[in-house]
Amino acid sequence: MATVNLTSEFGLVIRQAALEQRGVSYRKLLDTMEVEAPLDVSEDLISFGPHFGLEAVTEFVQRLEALGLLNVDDFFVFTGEFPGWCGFSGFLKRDSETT
Amino acid sequence: MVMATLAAVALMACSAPRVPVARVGGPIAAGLEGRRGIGVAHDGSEEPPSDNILAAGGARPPPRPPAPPPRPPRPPGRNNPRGNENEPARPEGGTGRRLAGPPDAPYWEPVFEIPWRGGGLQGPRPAPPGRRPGEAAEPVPPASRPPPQQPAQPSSRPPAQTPQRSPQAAQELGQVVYPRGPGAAIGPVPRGYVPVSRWVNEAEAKLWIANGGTHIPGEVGGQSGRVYVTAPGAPRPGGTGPIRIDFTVDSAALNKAGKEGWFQIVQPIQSMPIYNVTITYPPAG
Repeated sequence: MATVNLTSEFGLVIRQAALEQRGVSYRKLLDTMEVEAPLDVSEDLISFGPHFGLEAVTEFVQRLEALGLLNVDDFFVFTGEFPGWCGFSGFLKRDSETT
Repeated sequence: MVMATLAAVALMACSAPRVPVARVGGPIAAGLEGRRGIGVAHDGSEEPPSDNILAAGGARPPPRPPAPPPRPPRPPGRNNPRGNENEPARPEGGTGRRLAGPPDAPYWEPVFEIPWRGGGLQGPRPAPPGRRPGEAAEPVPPASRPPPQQPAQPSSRPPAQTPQRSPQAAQELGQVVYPRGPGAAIGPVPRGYVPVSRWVNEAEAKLWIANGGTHIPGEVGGQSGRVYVTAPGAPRPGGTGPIRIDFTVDSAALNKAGKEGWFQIVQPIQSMPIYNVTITYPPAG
């Protein structure tokens, strides 16, 4: 089970399979996110962030939706009030693991 | 014979020169009396001035000036009851005024006259209509000078509250907008304040202009309650607008953020003033 590092400062997590389904290339995704490389990447997930506040991450959400990606189904924003000493990581649950 | 003698005497009286007669206390006192102007009231009961004039060397005295017009009679009861003969003699040399005291006090106080060099002798200027008596007078500007020009240099706290250009015009020209005026963009800041930058879109820039650049608008940060800023000169973060807002903020309000050179300010923080606010619009194109 591959995991990716997440940031709680307005991080974005995108499912890799959704890119193939929506016809969005990896290069296109990076250009949309204005980065040369994501925060972390696995064979299932791509993590971006941290982002410059709610305004910036809202802008990225709109851009991803403009590419055809669906919020929550294909990607989501990970943020909250967490202490700095706590790290987060994520992984993709398989259908058999979904509750 | 008697008639001839009388005629001769009469001729001698008319043709003979006047012989000065020095009467101690008579003509001198009368002369001083004529010069005295303070504390002595002349009335009609005074003794007429004597014709005797002291002349040195027997020279012919100068002609007398014409007699002054007769004074109007004073009302009864206001005359000075003092007699002129009891007036003490005034010391010679210089001016003086009589000391207050008994009428017959034989002393005088010298008065030193200081020449006035401060201008006309019209007395103090009357108070202007807007000033009450006793109030400090405002300095009178010179009448010949033109009104002073306003300094072109911006002051530390200009009163201008309106931006110099509209956001639309500034965006087209790529200009800087000063919500509190250009002078408020520079100048000293309170201790502990540090400069920061924030990149925003046009909608948020209007919020900063609307509040006059006095504090961080409460709407900024939204539900997250965090306002992200960067250190001056840091690259523009992704997903932000093209408009840069530079201002100074209390460093105690800055918290670390996820990247180097990023800081977050926890809202609400409207009670914290900010200074030196400038909003830089990029050139249109």
